Amino acid sequence: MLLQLLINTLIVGSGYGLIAMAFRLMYSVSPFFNLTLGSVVAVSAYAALYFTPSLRAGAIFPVVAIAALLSWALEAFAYKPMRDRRASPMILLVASLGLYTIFESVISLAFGVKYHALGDGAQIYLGFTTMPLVQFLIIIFNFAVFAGLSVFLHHSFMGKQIRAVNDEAALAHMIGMKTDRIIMIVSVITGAILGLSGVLIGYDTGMEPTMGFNLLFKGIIAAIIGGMRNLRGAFFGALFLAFSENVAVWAFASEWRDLVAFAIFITFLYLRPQGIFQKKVEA
Amino acid sequence: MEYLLNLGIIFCIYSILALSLNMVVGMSGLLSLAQAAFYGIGAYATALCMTGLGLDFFSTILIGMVINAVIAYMVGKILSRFKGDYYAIVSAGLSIIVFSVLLNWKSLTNGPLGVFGIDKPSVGGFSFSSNASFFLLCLVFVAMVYVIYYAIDKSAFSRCLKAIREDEELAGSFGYSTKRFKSIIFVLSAMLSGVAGALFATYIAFIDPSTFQLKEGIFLFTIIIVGGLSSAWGSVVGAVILISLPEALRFLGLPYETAAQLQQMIYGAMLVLMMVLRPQGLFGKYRM
Amino acid sequence: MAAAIKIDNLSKHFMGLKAIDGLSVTFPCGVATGLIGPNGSGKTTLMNVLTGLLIPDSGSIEIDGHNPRHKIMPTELRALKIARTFQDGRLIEQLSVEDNLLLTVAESDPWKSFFDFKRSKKVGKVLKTVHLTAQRHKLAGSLSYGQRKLLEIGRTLMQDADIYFFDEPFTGLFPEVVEQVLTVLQDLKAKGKTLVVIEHNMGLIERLCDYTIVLNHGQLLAQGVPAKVLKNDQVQEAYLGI
Repeated sequence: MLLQLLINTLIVGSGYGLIAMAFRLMYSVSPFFNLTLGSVVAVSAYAALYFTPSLRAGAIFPVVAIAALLSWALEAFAYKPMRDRRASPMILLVASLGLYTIFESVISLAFGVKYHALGDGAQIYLGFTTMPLVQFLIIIFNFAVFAGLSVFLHHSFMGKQIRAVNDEAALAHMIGMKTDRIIMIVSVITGAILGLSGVLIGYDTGMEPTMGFNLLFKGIIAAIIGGMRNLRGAFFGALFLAFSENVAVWAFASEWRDLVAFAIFITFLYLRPQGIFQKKVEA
Repeated sequence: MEYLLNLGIIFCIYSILALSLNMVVGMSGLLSLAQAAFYGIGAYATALCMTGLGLDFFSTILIGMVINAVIAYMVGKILSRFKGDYYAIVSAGLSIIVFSVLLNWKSLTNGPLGVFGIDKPSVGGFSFSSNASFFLLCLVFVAMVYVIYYAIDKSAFSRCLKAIREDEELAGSFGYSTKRFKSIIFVLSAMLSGVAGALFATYIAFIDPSTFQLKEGIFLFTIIIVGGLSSAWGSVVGAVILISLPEALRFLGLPYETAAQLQQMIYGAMLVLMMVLRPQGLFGKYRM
Repeated sequence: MAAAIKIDNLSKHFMGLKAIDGLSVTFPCGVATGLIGPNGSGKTTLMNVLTGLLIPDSGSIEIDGHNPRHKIMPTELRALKIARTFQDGRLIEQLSVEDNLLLTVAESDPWKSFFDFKRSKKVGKVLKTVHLTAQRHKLAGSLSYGQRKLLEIGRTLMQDADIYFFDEPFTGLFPEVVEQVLTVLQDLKAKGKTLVVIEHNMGLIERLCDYTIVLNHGQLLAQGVPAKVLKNDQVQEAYLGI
């Protein structure tokens, strides 16, 4: 029972974790709640649905490429021009809401609003238990992305620049870093991570046109619970959120999953707006 | 004629929603996506109290307003600590949750099947069963909400809200307890949305949760962005424009689902266009 | 001389930087005090602590003989009769000039403010004093730099305070506007108000202030009559870096 709970936490938390980390990474260089990150997840899941019949598991490659390209294009053709015109974060948020709405309706027109399943039911035997292969992959990728991003952000020159932009955009600009270029690069990385999560989640739980917002919402909650300060917070925040959700599902019923997630979110905002892992800081 | 009256009634309901939303988004600069939730609660309060308890329409309005006030007060206490992104995401979350409760609390709301057979309001033997009389009733409510908006807009209360939306710290330094101001306007706006919900339920006679999803909140948001932030007149104009649009699309003769998605797409495009060209909206007085 | 503000062993650090470092100093009542010191000496930080924008790490503050307190809440400023201006000119850009003034005096209780529609007569008087009568209904965001600074000073006049803080009120103004501002501040002083003025122009300090407090590295460097303080060797050294 407990083992099952922990495994479910890992699976769900890894799905949220990928999105939370992507969100947190993007937010660090472009600080507004970018809802089209959710669109990238949804588009990736449907792209996987489109490519799987012909390419089988190889579908993951074109999908991740499409996601990275889409994320870059949104940045280059929508947000950058607006940022250049000194649009406030609120204006960017509302614009991203509009773009998100467009993506959702395009997906609905192309694939219908009904639920689509994608998985092939392949299982993997782990010595003590069997689980669907795709769920195993979600966990592996979540840890791999976390490790990879941590190393990249702390030990590469580019990563250090990204963290510098996070700390002080104006300062980074002053010392001659090309902030725009860094945002572009981050949006490509973010897009690739979101594409990966879109494929995996699509295989695991299927897809609906509204999945983008719902998943991004969980990712944002996870990042906020984790303190919104760094990648580690997003990673552990996602696991914590998934654990609480699974306890609630086990105690009540699965349709109250979202309600519990929201209740946890609200409780955190009320009691610890700074997140679980941060010491209290003065605003 | 009946068609126009029907359209007029829908205009009225959305004008009430837009006016009450504009108090929060325009006047106070708080990006609320929760309006559909309060709209839904108002509608369900009227539907359930009228069909289940046999209560009179006008008292069910009050019940819906009280429920909304309590929920908005509790969530508002937390929301008032925030603005901007956080406000938007928490309010969107509230909307998702209220929808999920309406859908899943089957013993109370009848779940996805909805509530049937909601009567038209009646007072002293007179029933507002004709579209003409119901339209007049709606007009009275719109006028009341419009006057409330106008009065607040001219008062010191709204001056403080407008200060908060730009510089909350500065407003605080003039002696205003800014969180209370934010919380009060949120509660008030939720209560007025409940009125719109009550009118909707009794007019349509059948409601189900699908009307009160997050996308309805986004639609209401689009109305005031297009019509104009922080403008009473803009709220009404925005409602008229965005309600008329699908009516125009109807003449294209597209299948229902295609037309619905096309509408969404146009709303989304309008939001983006307004943000690029005129973020304060057509008649707006506030730039985000 | 009675003390308008008395601070004792006050400290405020930012991530290891000691902006104010165990400062004990007294601002005399009914006097214009010049608060000077090199950039980064803690002048604006001190003003922010005294007007509730920052919470000090330690120390106590005593205002007008009230009980000493650890910090000041922004919402108390009205009751404590404290008004201030900001170095960068903080206005509500999307409200009219008139509304910016009314904001400081309107009903502060949210329920009562619903029914507060009044247009104070004082607005006209203040606008005349700060030469903004013609701009009354313009948005504050549309004002020129000098007009913004004048409006901020007008805002403090509305508040009818006892203690006024001015953070670089003359910086960036044309000479004739400097004279206008100087007149306004001198009038306040003549009415017996307490003024605290941050300013880099020593000529203006000597014309306006009767007392000077010099900060350096968040500590008190010197205090006294301006003419004397400005000749102090340590002060000269701190400013000129000799």
